[in-house]
Amino acid sequence: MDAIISVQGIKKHFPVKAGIARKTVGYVKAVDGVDLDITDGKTYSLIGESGCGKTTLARMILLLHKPTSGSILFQGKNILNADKDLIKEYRRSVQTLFQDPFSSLQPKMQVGTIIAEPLLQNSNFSREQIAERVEEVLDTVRMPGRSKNYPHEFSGGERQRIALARALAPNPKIIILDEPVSALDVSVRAQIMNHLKKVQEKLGLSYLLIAHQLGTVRYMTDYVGVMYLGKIVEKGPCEEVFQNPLHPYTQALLKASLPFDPDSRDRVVPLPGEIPSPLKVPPGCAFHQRCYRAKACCSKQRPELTEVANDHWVACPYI
Amino acid sequence: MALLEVKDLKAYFQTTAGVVKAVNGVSFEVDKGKVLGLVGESGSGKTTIGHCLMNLLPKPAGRIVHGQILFDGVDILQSSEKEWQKLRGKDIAMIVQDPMSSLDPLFTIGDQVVEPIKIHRLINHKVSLQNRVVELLEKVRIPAPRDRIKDYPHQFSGGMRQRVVGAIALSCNPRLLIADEPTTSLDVTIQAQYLALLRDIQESDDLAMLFITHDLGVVAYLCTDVAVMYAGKIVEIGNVRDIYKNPAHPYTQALIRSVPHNDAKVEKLYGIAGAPPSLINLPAGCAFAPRCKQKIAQCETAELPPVTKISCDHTVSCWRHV
Repeated sequence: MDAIISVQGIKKHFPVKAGIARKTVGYVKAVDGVDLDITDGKTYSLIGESGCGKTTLARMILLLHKPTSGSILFQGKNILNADKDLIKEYRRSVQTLFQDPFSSLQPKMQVGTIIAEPLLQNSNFSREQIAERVEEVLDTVRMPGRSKNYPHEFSGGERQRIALARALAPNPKIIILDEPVSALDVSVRAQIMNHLKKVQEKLGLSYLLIAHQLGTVRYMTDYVGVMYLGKIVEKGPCEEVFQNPLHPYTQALLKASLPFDPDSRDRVVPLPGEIPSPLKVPPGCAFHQRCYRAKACCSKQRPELTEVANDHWVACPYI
Repeated sequence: MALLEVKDLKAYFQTTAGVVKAVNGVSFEVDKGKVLGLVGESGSGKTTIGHCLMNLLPKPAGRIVHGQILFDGVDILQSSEKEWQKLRGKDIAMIVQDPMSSLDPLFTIGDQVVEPIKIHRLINHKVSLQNRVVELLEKVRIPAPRDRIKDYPHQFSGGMRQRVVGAIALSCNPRLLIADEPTTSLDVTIQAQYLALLRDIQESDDLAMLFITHDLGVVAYLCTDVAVMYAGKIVEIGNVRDIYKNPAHPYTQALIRSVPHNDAKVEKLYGIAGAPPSLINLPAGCAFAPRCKQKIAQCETAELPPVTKISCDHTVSCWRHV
């Protein structure tokens, strides 16, 4: 299957400046060499904890950060040095849903205007076509006829659906979902996740999902990438990675997550230590200081992602 | 007699739109060595209960209008503010969700951990005070504690800051610890570390804990008992195994079916249609009835469902079980 977006060797190093002359004294290596492909109609998820780089990676895909190096290919063409028209097409095709439904909608704009905004900015639609499209997407998110209301008149879950309608308006190919349900009440999350799945099936959309709750990821994802300090350490089909985690960090993440069963408390094994700062990434394998399997050469050589079975890749030579 | 007994507690807020019945007749107990999870979504009243237990409702809008809070047999709602100040931070302590809002950025963590001890005059001697601070930081497993006493909150990671907050809460050996969503902002592995720490301390100190959260995974891990709240009332309360394996109230059942599991692939999740009722205009009868898929005729009458015993430590407020 062809990838709609193909990210290759992408890096983002933020310079840290100090002193009166503002000299660069170091770099925060937020993303440090990542490849990923998002294919038609599937959900690709990125999981990882604070500082792993998943949000920075999503921002680069949205062209909100300029990568330090690497490329982003959109339908085979490099978007990082594209002409204006291709970029416009890219922006229509790659939309996003943010975490906080309370701050992602302009409180002084009516819902209809909020949804129309991407079309007003970036399409050749007439006013009538825009109005029609707004009603169409409101219908898709099951909130017909609400275009004259204001955001404060809606609950958190409803606002997230409005934000989804806004993302759907330009008829995108991919929506980046940045923690789409973590700010919502527990019982509303299921509704929104089911809704996202339905819309995806109906429209053949692809999703890039960023979430820290493993349950959410497991429910929605086809293909998952586990990130640690700016790199992908394991990736593969979602159930395969969850049932058969190979990288010690993935194993630790799964062992530290809480089962739903009061009788399984002792299965939870916290991973000792803290995540190192991206300012001082450990040499060799970034995880070696916390790894139960670490050997002497782990601190010297950075492992590459290798395919182990059936599109299941791991960056560890000792599995 | 349990360490903490709450009887028919009602706490209302006066607002320009009307009276918000945030806590509307709540009863429960927590004993030494037990952890009661108070589970509910936004607006269920769980955080307000935590504030009631410390008599910290925002005045003048918030008032406790009815009920008793018996701590060690004494109704502390009748206590004077002076008597409350002796209780707070000493016998009853609290930790909240965001460590950065409970830690003062301008004071060292040593100063902040020692503050309750000084206020309650438990130790006077300077060296003993310092040793006690180091002992507390060791208890919450902060590495190299003696070197970190002079550090400021911004020099710690999120997980470490939450442990410092824990050290402050434990500084005067409280008998009841109220934790209000302390792990919501923490990463998965850090949350696991923190909960394991809380569990060890709770067991070794035989603490009574009230753990307020919306996270059913955390409740399964840490709690001995669970109270499920909806629209200001407890709809079901029981020991954690009964609640998870045999939930009786339709809301509890619906909540459990709406949560994705970390440890298994769930084929389908079921949300709960509709929204919680306004706490100003509560419906007559059972507040969950408008959204309940199992309601019967009795549910929408003006009468509130009585509390029914399902087993010796499992009760539910639902007309279907009467």
